[in-house]
Amino acid sequence: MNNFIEEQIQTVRNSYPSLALINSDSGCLLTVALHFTASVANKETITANFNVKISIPHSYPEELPKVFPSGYSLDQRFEHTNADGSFCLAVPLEERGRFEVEPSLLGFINNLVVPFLYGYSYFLKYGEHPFGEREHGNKGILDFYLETFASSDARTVLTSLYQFAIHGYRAHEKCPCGSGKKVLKCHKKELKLLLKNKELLMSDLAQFIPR
Amino acid sequence: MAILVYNFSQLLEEVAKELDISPSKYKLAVSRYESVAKWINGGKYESFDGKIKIYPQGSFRLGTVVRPIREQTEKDYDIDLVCEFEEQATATQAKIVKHRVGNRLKEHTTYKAMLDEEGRRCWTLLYSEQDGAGFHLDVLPSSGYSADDFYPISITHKENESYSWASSNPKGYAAWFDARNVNAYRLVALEQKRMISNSCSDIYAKIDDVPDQLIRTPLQRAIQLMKRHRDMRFDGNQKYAPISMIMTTLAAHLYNNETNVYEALTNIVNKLSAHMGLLDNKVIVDERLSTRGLIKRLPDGTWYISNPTNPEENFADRWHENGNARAKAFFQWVDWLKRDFLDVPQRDRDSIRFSLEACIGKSIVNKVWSKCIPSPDAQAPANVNISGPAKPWRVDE
Repeated sequence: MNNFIEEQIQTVRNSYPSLALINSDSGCLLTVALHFTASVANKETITANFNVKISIPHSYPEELPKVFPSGYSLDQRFEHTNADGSFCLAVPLEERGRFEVEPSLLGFINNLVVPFLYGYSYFLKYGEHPFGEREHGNKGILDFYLETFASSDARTVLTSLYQFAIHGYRAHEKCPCGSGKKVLKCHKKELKLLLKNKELLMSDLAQFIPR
Repeated sequence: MAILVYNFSQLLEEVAKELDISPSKYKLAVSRYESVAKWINGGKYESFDGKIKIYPQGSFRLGTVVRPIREQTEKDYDIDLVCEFEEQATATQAKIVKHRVGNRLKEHTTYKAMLDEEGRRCWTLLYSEQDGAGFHLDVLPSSGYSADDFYPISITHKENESYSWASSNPKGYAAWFDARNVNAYRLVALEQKRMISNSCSDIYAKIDDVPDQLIRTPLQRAIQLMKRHRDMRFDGNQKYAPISMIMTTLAAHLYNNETNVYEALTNIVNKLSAHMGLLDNKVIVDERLSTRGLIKRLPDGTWYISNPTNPEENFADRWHENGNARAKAFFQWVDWLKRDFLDVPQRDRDSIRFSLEACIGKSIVNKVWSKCIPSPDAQAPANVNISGPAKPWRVDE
């Protein structure tokens, strides 16, 4: 394990002291009790304590960690677990975007895992998702792109994104949202963020655009 | 961090106590219905001079009463009182018997003011309006004539403006329920009477003063929890919600004298769940359960749950309607019971608490939680401010 990860783990320990570390072949595995008090604007503040296992791949931070419930499983009415039992935090690009707000393990926990567990706790209490949820599979991915550009025109958003993905960012091209404006004067910020993770973007688009 | 089964069972017991009628309110209710009984007994009735028997039935009699809740608001307790005129139903008419009681209540100025509109089967006295008693009394006029004590009686039924008779056997049902409950009752009665007498010494000075009606076995507690769970999980969507009669009957059949409420619930719910295959016309794998035939699916697709005191009465006679809507709702509810109450050792402490808050009510859970569940190591939680959260998703398999 390199110093880079070790430092990040130490930072996590300051917030979540119960952290324990198990090294494994495929990377390293943390067990930690995420005991948090999470507040959200206009919503109930929730204090909860969830034991989780966090598996960090060798390729971190290119690849993001996976998070599993430890010693229990999530209520099946809450449908956002992957086939391997890990939490489905978000569609890949959204997950990456959230991670890059604060690209560290602690940031990963506080910006992705804790909001997810807050959402789960809230769901158990009220039967609804506080932040909404995405449909499973490609529908959810498409929904993410449409939401990013506040558009309902899937064809325009996808074909335009594909052009940007191939040719790179070009400020004078038309915006993917379909407004007809130059992207420079429209969804520049959103588009640039997506293009930062071109590989993820391409693999998403490949699902939708036939060759 | 997990919760010990022992602590969780204590918690359920405390929750059920909160749902239950308190000893002091019980005493108040009894004295109120005794006054009503006295008043009805003191009446002069045209063409009737036989005996009138007045006694409680339903959850108040069975010891499974829970505080009703609708649209997240706690309502008054319902107390059912049978008012049985000793005469053959064929010798009189439903309308006469119904109004005999109604008119007599109206002769009393206080009762007249408390009386609700005429119900289908009963007259309702709304005590809460009067003195904050927090219950109302449903008086059920009926005719009965038999030497046997556990006989069916005829109750009145009003549909639009016409009256007819329906059959009911509240005493027989109560006797059947008591028989299912009696072994557990013997185990817990003395201890519980002692506790009640200690904590309510102003009402019940001696252990022997505590009425049997206040004792609760794990079976009764389990039924109380199931009823509240139903009320909460079907709140605002009651149309197909399982009826209390069905859950009380099945739970009493399945109860195996477990000594705590968690084990009782585990046994009852798992055995109910074993019937789930009937929805898809599958057989019940557990042979012993299958021979008991508590819930049956007939070849024509209809359902059958017998009234134990009258096999001709089918509690599930409407389960096949609207694409088995009631059957589906019932098994959905059983599944929820499982997730909300069972498998505690495998579940996380907070998720147990959150689902309990959802199916019982937040204020009750908050009130009893810390009494029964030891707090985890006092460690300040990390503070997290959530902004711009992602939405959960799932890969298609």
